Amino acid sequence: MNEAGVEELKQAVGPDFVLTDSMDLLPYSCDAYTLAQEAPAAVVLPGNTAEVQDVVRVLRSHHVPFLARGAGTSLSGGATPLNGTVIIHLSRMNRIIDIDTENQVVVVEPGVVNADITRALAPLGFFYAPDPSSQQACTIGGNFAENSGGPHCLKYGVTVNHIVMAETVTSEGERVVLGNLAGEPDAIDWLGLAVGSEGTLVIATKLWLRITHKPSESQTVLALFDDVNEASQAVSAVVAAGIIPAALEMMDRLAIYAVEKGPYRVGYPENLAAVLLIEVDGESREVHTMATRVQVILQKHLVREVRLAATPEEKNLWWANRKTAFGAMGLISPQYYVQDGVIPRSRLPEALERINEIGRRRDVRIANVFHAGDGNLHPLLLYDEHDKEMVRRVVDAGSEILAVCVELGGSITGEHGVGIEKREDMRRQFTESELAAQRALKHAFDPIDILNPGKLLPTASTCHDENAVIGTYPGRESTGE
Amino acid sequence: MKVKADILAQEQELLAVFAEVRRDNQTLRVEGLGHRLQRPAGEPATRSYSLTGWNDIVAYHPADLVVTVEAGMSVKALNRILAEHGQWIPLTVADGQDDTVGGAVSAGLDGIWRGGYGSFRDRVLGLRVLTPGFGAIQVGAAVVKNVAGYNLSRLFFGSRGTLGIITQVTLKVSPLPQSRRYWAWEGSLSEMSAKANDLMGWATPWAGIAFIADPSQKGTRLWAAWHGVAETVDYLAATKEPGSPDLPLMTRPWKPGAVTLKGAVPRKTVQDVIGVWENGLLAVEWQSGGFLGTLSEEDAPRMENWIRERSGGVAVLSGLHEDLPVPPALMPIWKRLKDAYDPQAILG
Ligand SMILES: Cc1cc2nc3c(=O)[nH]c(=O)nc-3n(C[C@H](O)[C@H](O)[C@H](O)COP(=O)(O)OP(=O)(O)OC[C@H]3O[C@@H](n4cnc5c(N)ncnc54)[C@H](O)[C@@H]3O)c2cc1C
Repeated sequence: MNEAGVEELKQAVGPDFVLTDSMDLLPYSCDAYTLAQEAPAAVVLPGNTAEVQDVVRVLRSHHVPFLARGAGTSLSGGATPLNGTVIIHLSRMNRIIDIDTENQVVVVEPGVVNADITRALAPLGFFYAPDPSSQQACTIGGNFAENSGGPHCLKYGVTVNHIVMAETVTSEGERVVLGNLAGEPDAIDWLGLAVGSEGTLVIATKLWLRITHKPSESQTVLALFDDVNEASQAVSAVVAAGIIPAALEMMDRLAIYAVEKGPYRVGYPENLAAVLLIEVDGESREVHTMATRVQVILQKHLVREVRLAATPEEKNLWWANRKTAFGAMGLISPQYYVQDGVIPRSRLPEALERINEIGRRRDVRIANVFHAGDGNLHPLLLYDEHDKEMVRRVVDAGSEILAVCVELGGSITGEHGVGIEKREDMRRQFTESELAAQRALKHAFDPIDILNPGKLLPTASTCHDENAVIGTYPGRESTGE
Repeated sequence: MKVKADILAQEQELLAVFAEVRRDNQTLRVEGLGHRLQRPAGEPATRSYSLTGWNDIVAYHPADLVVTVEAGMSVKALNRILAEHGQWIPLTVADGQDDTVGGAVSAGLDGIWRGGYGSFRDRVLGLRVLTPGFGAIQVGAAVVKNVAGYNLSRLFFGSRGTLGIITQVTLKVSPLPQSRRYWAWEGSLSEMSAKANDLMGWATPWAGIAFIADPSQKGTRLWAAWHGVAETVDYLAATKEPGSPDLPLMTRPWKPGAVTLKGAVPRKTVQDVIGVWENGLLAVEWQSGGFLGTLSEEDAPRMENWIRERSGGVAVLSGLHEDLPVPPALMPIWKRLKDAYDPQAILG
């Protein structure tokens, strides 16, 4: 980014909101996927939509690629700048603008933190359903871009099911509103295409989110197992019995060991093989009947113990214990690498067995903490970054796990996105024609590939666009492993 | 997903049709059961191809609550198969018509269970599509959660076959409710609105709460359906009103109108849309704002504007032909997409 460009950016947002000092840029060189790192050319902090438009136009006129950043908790490198990208950090755009209970919509700026929305809605008897485990930090803009999920998405659906309208800025700096208050596209669902596009199609500058009535009742069941296979089969049995819990989460032995070292100790008995955390909510009679049926099903699967949360405090503790599981890995390993793959839930026992086998064969410790109800696995691969050989084994094991997910009829990512991390893994799931069809969408929105380039799609086998600003990205080999 | 050899042969046949249509300078229109067709504008010459023969189950694993079907299978036929396993696709269109699954996706249909079960669009996990530009492509996946790449299902849902021909659909299915009960009332619009609000105090969410306005009958009719466990149904019947075990007669099949519009309005506008809808049948779901209604050719464009001005979504489902509604700001993007997916513009 040349001097003149920086000056224009300062004019657009004010001199205090353009960072170019290398010390200021350092924290922006990666997101929560730390295997690829590169400092941005600059960081710009616009305060409103018009400023975002101005910034985009300036950068475009200088042929400088750019990306939007929320809280930087992406686990796939979506917010990591590549090849001189400028970061548009939306942290100043963090207001909850309106709560419209009649239309059941809350209007927010993209920098609002996910959990703050539910906190603001709680006194009105509503909540915002998608609840990523990172919800205390991640922003709605990031959730929009990643189509984030969370434990309660089993019943309530993921982010795309909860955004009805979005004000966006295109790669050309145009302001375009996608969707409408009714959450009903006239024909093509442009908004649905933008959600989950990992910040490569548009930048969201204002979002209208659907809010949900707080259920009148909920019950939380904790099931302790001596056998991980029995726990996996119980997961399938609950859903096959026609019960869709609000959440159905699972942790295995190593994960339980880690969370019990953390600040939210449940006090699990020794030597557990697996824990299921199951929540049912809704109308009170529905909840009681379903919770009873869940317990009957669990008893058929050699459960050691079933607990029903007796107080809201107990329920909150169980959830805090589960939601801080990723972080707890830091207590048992210097580093951990979170994988994210999906399998049909009936293949869970087989998938866990194969992941175990991969861990054994490649000599990698793997903990499993995941959204069992929708088959969304999160193997956590433990490593020490100083051991380069180990890092390589961990990356290879992660990729092999994804191959298993695809082989079992699933997907290489359920909620963390492709980003930089899984670009080449996309070839496991899609044919060249299918990738070309996806590339055509990117090209339609961003013909010169200037918005968050180098993400989501593998490098084309033939060059699609001669005007493309970016060619390569730092692959796994160049991340210093 | 593995594609069976006979499906590949069928696809070859359809790809050959693409070539013929291109050669003869025609356009191609794919048809399902034909209830949702728009009257073609006339030229250029249109060739029809029926997909109703493509009606097999491709994959169904009840424990996963996921099914993949060929696009020509009707929703009712699919639901008969799913019912054997205690499951269903909650898509019942207010006019009582059956549709092919591919037709429902392509036309962007929704139905009376949207309030309780979510939109039909959200059930579409993946599609197999034949495109002139890229050949046969699989989009999405056969699992309930997936963010690998762009969500191209959203490009084809509601795009009426203008970018590709949907040949298979993968859907999230729901368990059939253990118990159901229906209630129905008639009265003035304000009385029925008060009733609908009252229902939300009984319990939530309802499987559906729908207003039916029929110009041939006085007043507005309201029906509500609860799907759930027997305990709730018994409680509501005992402490509120008895209701009935069957869908009320007021959802009898509609006579087709000149134009059928479908879409949704913001919740705040539900009562208003019933008030301004003149000379046509209208069904609106209270919890979601989803609607289906018939109008004359003169009144339809006026209602479309009225709905869009209030931030609702609307499209012509059958009747007068209209170009795919694309917001002006997105027109250049749409054109680039059309050029890539259907370079010779053989799809209508
Ligand atoms: C401990 C931990 C737990 C997690 N748990 C979950 C979980 O349960 N479920 C889940 O789905 N994810 C989870 N994540 C992943 C992550 O939190 C989500 O992907 C989240 O949505 C990222 O939000 P962010 O604000 O941090 O976005 P960032 O990391 O800053 O950005 C992510 C992507 O979004 C784009 N982006 C950001 N803002 C905008 C915008 N306004 N417009 C367009 N694009 C934008 C960026 O360009 C980038 O591509 C977890 C992460 C961590 C570290």
